[in-house]
Amino acid sequence: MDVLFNAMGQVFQPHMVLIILLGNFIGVVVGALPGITGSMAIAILLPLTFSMSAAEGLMLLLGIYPGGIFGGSIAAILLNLPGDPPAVMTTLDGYPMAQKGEAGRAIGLSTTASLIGSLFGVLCLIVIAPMLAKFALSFGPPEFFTLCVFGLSSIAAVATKDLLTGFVACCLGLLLGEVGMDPVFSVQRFTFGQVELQSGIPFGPLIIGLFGLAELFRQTLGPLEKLELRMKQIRKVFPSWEDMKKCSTVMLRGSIIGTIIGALPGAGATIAAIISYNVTAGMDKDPKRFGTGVPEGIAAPESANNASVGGALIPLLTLGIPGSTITAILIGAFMVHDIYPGPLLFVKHLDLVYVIFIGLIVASFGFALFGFLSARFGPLVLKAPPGVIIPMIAIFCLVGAYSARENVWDIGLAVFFGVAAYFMGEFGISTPPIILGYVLGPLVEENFRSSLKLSGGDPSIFVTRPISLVCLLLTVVILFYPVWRKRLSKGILSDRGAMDKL
Amino acid sequence: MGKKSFLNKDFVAGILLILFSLWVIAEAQEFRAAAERFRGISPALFPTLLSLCIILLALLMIIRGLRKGYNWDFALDLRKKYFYLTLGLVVATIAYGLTMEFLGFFLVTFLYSLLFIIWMRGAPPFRAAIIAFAATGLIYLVFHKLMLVPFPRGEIFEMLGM
Repeated sequence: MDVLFNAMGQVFQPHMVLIILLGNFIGVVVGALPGITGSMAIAILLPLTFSMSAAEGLMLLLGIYPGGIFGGSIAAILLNLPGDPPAVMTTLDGYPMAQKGEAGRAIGLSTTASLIGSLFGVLCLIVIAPMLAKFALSFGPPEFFTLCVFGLSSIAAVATKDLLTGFVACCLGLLLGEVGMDPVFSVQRFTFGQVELQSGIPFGPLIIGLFGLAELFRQTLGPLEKLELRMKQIRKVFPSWEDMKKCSTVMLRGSIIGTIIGALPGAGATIAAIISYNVTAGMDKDPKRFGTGVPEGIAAPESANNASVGGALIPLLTLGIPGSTITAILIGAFMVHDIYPGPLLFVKHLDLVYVIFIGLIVASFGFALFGFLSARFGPLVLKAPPGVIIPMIAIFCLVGAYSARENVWDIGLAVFFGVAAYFMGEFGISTPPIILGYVLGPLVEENFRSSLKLSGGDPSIFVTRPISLVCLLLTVVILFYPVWRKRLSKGILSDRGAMDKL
Repeated sequence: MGKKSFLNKDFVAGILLILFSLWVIAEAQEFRAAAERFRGISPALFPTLLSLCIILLALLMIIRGLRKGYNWDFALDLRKKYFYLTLGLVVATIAYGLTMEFLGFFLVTFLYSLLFIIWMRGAPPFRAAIIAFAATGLIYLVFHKLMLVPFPRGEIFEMLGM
């Protein structure tokens, strides 16, 4: 109880609340801007947290995370342009509702559903995470190795369009994690004799290159159209009692789906929103009305994608496994302060864990506040011309890359990874699995080598221990996931062309 | 099944990945030798296994590419004017890094922002200069004043005695 009160005391300090609100604001703004994702914002702003305390830095980034996911719905509703991939499903009913002159109602519903989903996900995180952490303490190197393999396979199978290139990306990411001094033998690996690479490829320039710069290169390869607002009446932003009655079950169901899907490594907010929308439409008496601007069509995906935030933090905090791109970046924020997420986090840094829990609750209310405000003022940000936005983001990326180690060399590294990521994208190799591979690389190798040392070089250790065997079986199951996804996409989504937008 | 062609993204990517993996395996032999005098699991084992995995996946990509046939459409098109904008962004970004220590943070950031806003027709020159100046100031304030990131002052100013 003392830990809880201490954490509350920390979070409710004025400067901490301001940091959370600042994160929320940034998250909502970048989430609303098409082409700029929450992960990109977190990647760019990560260097800013280096000089902050662990709690302050995490509060800023955890403010951006749910804010970014929610922010995507604003552009989805107003412009039929999902600001973030998880907001794709919101366009289906949000935009038709805005065209009917009910943009305020749509944003209000989206905000309320996101708030409920986010709070549900955080509550699940609070209840489940400590129990799971105790269980995770029984994990040895073979279990961790197979769990990481499962996590990487999941992201390759679920988060990418193509399983084959998804696995290639995972392997490339794992190889990137190999660069630097070997921790056991102290031999240099893939450093080309460069002092700058001896401690490995720095996280900041890598993430800025793969996400920030690569995305900018993609954006400039097409016409920079000015976003035209089809503004209708945005006066009524709070949902009515009738809407809440209609959507309460949908929001609860969406929250449950979002939390479960979010907790699965590799799934994430987009998949959660798709499944929630599909389930809601499938269970409705008249599924055909979905896509015409019904409130349930907004409540279902928005509650799910925000609930996935709490869900995604469960494997991150308890097992140290980032299940999504954003959580992979977040792990860097922990590591910068020499804190390693995993079961021991609940033993060594319980105070920080509670700060995260309470901070997330505050962040949920924070983005809701900005959600209701953004219904009025958000369109002003969307009006900014791309010719100004793109150079500003580029300069922010470059300064961010430099400040990671205060080294000009890192700007070159960021540009190299940006160009490489661009070309990999052209060849169908997506970047999120690379980041996950890079983050998990040292952990995977360390546990792989420890397992083999334990067994005297016998690889059967991975199948003779029950938990690692289960993880390997789950990996096999996940390999068949794309077949199931194809079937899913043939359903309601195919009628409305939502998969095309993905 | 499409018409057979080697101009296929999977095919080309597969070949490149195999070449890359072979380089990784060759490189790994060097630190395998360096670590041979110690007992334990070799630091070359994991990268070698990963490279073998990539080779296997690349072979599957090559087979798929050959079965699919022609697939050689890229967003990057030398004939389109946007290509030069992107190329300019890449070159300017490299130039930013190369000139930062010589010109200093303020000058290089201001010039980079200004030129790009004008080139991308984000704003007319005078307005672009105001935006670039404000952005440089804001970044300096946030990164240097608040986050204590030291920026290079610029060798040119030292040479000029400023």
